[in-house]
Amino acid sequence: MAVSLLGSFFPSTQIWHVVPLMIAVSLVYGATRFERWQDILEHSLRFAIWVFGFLAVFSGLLLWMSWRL
Amino acid sequence: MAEGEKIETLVEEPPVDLRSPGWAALFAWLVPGAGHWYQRRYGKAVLFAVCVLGTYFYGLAIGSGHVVYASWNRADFRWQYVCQLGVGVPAMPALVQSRRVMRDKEPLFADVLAPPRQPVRPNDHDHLADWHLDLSWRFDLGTLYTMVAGLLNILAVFDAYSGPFIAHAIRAKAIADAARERTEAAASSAASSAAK
Repeated sequence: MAVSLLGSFFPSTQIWHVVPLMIAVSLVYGATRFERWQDILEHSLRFAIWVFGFLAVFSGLLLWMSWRL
Repeated sequence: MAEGEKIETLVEEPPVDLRSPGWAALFAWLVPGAGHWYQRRYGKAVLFAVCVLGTYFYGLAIGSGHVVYASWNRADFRWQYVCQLGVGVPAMPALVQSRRVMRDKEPLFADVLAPPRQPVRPNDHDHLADWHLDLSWRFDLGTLYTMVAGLLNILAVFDAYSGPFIAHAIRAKAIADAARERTEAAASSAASSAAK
């Protein structure tokens, strides 16, 4: 049941489109805040982890809610 | 880390030569990365070009070339195009296509970047409805990608115009704090020596 719920919540062809988008957003946002590559990459990595973490928590919450309903 | 070390580290950052910021911002808007290339910030130029143009064309490909178009009529007010226009030249052919469609001419390039023809009679084809039916979620995803690309390029335009945001702000604050501390220390030592 959990697998079918996950399958319906994360359609395989759609959810993966978020990955290149987040990578691009993280890099561009980091590059507009810093000039040195080390700073840009560190900031981009932190930003990407934060965004993916937020998405994961929010998705988990929605999954839990849909399971309960 | 001591305050002095922090300031030294920040001051060591490479100075950014923005050359002519206005022109750089214009170039950065017209072609993502071009403004930074003009400023000889080649690494950032490549990064912005790859990320912004990659996102834009990826979105355009997902949406089969139909997700970027200019339409200002009441039935289909395409406000998303304002964001998409942030990528500059790559989104501009949509203006030409829109003009051709408004004048009842056939759009160029097999309808790519052309607005949908609105049905005039009840049985006419509704192109926009067809696109939504054919592309399904890809239409929305492509629209999102191309909008995000345009908005990202606006950030790049600001970077070309005024340099990186945080590093300069921190450095300016650190230098101002250090100057204030030096002034306060000098005033304090002058007051103590006068008291003696």
